[in-house]
Amino acid sequence: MADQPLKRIAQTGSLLGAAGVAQAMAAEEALRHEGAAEDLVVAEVAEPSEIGFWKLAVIRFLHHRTATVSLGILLFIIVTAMILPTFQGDLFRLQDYTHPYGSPFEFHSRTVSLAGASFSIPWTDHLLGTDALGRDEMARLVRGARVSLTVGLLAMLGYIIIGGILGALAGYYGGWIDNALMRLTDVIIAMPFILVVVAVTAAFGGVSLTVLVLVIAGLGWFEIGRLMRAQFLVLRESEFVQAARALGASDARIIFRHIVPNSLAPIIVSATLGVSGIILLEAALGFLGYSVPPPEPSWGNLLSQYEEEIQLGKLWPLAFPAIALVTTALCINLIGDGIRDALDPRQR
Amino acid sequence: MHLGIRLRAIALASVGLFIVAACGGGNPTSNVKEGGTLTYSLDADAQTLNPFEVGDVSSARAIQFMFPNLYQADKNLNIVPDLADGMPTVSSDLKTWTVKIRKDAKWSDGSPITSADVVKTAQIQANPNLDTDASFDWSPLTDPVTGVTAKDTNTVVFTLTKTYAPFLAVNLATSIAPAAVYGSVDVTKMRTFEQDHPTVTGGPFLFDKRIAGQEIDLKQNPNYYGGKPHIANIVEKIITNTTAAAQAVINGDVNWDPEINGAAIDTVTAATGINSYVYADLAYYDIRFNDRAKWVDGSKDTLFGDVNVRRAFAYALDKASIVKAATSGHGTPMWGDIVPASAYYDDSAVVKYAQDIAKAKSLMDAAGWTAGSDGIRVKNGKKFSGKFFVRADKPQRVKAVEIMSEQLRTNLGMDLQPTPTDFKVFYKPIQAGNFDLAFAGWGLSLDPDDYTIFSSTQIRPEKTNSGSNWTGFVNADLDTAIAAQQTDLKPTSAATFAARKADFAKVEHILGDNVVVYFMWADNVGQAFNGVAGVQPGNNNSLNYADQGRNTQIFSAWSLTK
Repeated sequence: MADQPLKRIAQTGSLLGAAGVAQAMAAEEALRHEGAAEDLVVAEVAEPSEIGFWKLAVIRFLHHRTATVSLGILLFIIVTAMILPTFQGDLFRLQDYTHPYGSPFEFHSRTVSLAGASFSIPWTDHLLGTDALGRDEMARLVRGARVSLTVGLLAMLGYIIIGGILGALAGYYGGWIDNALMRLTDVIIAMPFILVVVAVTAAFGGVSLTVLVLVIAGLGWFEIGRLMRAQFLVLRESEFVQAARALGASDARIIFRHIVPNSLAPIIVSATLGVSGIILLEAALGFLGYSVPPPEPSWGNLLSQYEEEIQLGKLWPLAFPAIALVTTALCINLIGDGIRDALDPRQR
Repeated sequence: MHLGIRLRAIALASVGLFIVAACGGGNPTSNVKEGGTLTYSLDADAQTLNPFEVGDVSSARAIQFMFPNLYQADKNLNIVPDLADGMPTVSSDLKTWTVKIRKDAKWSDGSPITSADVVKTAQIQANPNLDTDASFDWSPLTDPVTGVTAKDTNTVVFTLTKTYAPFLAVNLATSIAPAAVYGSVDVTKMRTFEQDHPTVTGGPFLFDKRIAGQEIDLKQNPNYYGGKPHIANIVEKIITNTTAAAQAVINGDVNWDPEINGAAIDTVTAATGINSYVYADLAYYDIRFNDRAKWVDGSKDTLFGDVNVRRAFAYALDKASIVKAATSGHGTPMWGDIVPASAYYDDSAVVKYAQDIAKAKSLMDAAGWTAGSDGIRVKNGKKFSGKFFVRADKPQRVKAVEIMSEQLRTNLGMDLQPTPTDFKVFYKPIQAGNFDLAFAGWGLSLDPDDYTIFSSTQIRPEKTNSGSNWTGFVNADLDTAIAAQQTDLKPTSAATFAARKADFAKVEHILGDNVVVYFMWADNVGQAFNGVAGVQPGNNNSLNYADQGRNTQIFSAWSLTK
């Protein structure tokens, strides 16, 4: 199947300009790699003016099967986390602490009346069982997803904003600004994370979602910052930037119109992969008791009661958040891989 | 047990001035195995092995084999002589205490233990400049130096300014250190002196070597005055994870786990071949309210300054079921500050609040807190909303706080946000008086004296920087009752006991009636042994005396079975 579109591209290629040929070649590479449907290829290649870098990247990504499946699962998790808690209301905090540890997947028959007739259907009040205080595990898991994903996305946004701006300044202006900012980065890297969390906790009188996001963002941006700086160091010396400068473009115009768009690809890959890192970090902090305060669940603090639960031989309160955590982190990493493959300029 | 505060200040089962009870010391009997190494688990490395510096439970456990006590607790927590020769005699005005020292006791360097060692130990403990985390209270002495004197080589005389009932169980039940070693040390530099290596000791076991963070090794003291120990060596192994420690005693990797709690108790008691003893601990938990009208920094009106609000809090909760859920059934609910393990415990003296939500609501209404639109109560436009502090590293406490917070929100419209806080910073806002309520833990010594926790002279930070009364509660009757239980020393132990019990009943009533704090529970804890013979539990299976140095002599009577 891959052979046929190649011929067609080769035929249309001569009609295109040099750039068009290059793009077509790139598309061809991608398609050979992924074995894509031919209709799409013909349409895209026939109109070279529409197939820009980003569009091509999207096409490549959509043909990365593992990444698209992962994206589907992640979207499902996100949508569930957004919608389900709205219907469940306070269910995540309602206790039945005199009857803890209800078993998961325990169905009993329940009679429902529909149009005058009675039916007996299998029913469960707590699909995934209940925890040490008799709270619905399912509601806590889904609500916990909100915290984990919110922290992951907001802290990453923080990374991009702080790291992006500082990295760009350091890389573009160089000199003492670069020196100062890179020494600041060294200081941040050297800070013992948990101790800072303890100190900040003390200062704010407890942990909250805001504190958590600020601390993670404030201490984790350096990777993006260094990446951004490296991109700027390379690109500021490139010919198109020198051309822009020769034409009298302002620093702001050079940075935002010329360098930033060209430096985004590695940042996006790093940011995507970073989100799963932050979600796992939040879980670790929650495990140690430094995530959102109870009764608000997060996947990390759902795991933190492990000791008693293992002693009692109750493993599901650990299994469900653990599975959710691993699945989400894995999906994000696979999506990150897909994006990297799609954006990798060496494949063009 | 890691408790919030370890108070070396509280009195014991019965202050027996003239009772000479049998010592716990061991006489070698036939068929007892000699030699072998006993492995003992410690939940943290000892902070110090200097007897003047021990302020935490792990250090108290690590050091307990090495230094002799002047008086010690027997298995039922009565005070009996250790290094002392008989019980102390007290002058007719009950202010001068005379203690005889036994003549056969020797330090590990061969020199005799004399009255000079006891005098020096007391003087160092009484020195106001001593740099230590341990709390020694020798304020009843007429003078920190001349208040204690050696009459001869075997007689020590303590002169007090007042009759002071906790003196025997608190001040005289203390470990004695060699004057020749510690006497010349500048007390301001005591903290770092022989911190990890005591050179001269006199207990049943002597220091051998230490691998920091891993183990402390001891060897038997063949010249111990309480009898040469059967066991040749003790290895104190540091196992920080409590589940792992319980598992280690089941597997036989260690012979003795001195503290098991929570769900691990069930695991250990169900294991075969393990001797386990579960008993009420000499410790308890309570909810500390800020009873002041305002935070000490003036920034906020307190939520619990009004007694009606505190009573509403008490009526809104079902204590028994909360304690059962939080401790997996291993806690005894409490309504006063005297623990069930103490002989002074008196169930009829406490004020109990059975759950009555309608009454709780009407009390809140009476206090001016009316239900707001979102269910949270409001007064003068301000919501009933605050932080409920609890140590993050204590799952049982966090669980209890979560349950209470939810009950109070749904039953009473109080918005008390559970705030698990790291131990290192937990006490900061509480000791500064800028908090609304907090879950606190208290480790007790052998006397139920509650002066430092509830006397208004001990209010921190307004009155003192070292007291433990964080509530800010002031009540003249309470102060009078607390002073009375301290000074009610009578010529006989039975009379002292009766008088103090009546005093404590008054204290309990005032505390309960005003809900000064909301008492929670006393832990049931366990000790487990694998292959150890000679362990003698007291009443109700209690081994409180075989912990934290309350009795050192028993260790010379223990032996290994394999």
